Amino acid sequence: MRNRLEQSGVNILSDKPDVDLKASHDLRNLFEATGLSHMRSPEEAKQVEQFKESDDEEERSWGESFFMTHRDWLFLELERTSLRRAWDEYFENVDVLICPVARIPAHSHDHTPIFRRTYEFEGQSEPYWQVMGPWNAMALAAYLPATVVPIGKTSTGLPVGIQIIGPYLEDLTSIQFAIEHQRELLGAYELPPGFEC
Amino acid sequence: MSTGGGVSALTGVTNSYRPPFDLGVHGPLALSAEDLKLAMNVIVSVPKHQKGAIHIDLPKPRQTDLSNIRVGGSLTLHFRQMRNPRRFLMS
Repeated sequence: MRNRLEQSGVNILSDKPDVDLKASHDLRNLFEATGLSHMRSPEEAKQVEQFKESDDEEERSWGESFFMTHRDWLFLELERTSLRRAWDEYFENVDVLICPVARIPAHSHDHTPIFRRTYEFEGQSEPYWQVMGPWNAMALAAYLPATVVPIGKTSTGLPVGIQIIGPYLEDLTSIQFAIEHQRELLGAYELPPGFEC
Repeated sequence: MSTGGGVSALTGVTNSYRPPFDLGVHGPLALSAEDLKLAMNVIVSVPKHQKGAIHIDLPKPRQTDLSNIRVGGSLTLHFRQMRNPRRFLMS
């Protein structure tokens, strides 16, 4: 990917944002758990409350943050503000950041409840929630726009994407990079097998 | 996750009188990046009851030529010391 971009004249910088990837992942999970809590039924809320006693760290975290106080939320906002400032500083010298979307490529659907869902990854069974992170949390936790474009396929023909993160409110910058990237490096959209007209 | 019609990151408002989603996003899918740009410009708007005072005008792309875009690439990010929010909540 890097070689292909550089061959097409893209200026790839070594600057890295002063952010903690794991902390972004945690922050996103905490805000998501409580931010959607008002949409859960009383029965679902009771179920999540049981997570507080879980041996699984992710479940326990979800259970705790689902019922967080407004005071806790405001302290988390301070963390997010710090994160957003770090990104703002980074994007003073960089227009877009390219990074993975997830630790895995496209995969078959699995409708097992998300906290029971697992994925075989590098020979081990891992919670789905953890396998999907933490890359997808970086933009979301800091209110940044992100555009995902395909860059190729796995050996089994499944698509692999790359994430293009742009500065706050500059969605059109990350989309424009995707447009130019698609024009220069990818070509036209290719229908997956079995979906031809 | 449902977008819920929200643009909370932008203005803290939604397309109705429902409370905003903190992590609500506009997330159009498209077969090409050009279509994505078109979809983005169509769906990003403010609720009807706020249109008299608020409008969204997303900044134009910083660059339009691939060779002029400053790209940061990362497969690893260094870790700075930041209080673990989960540990904070548990304390």
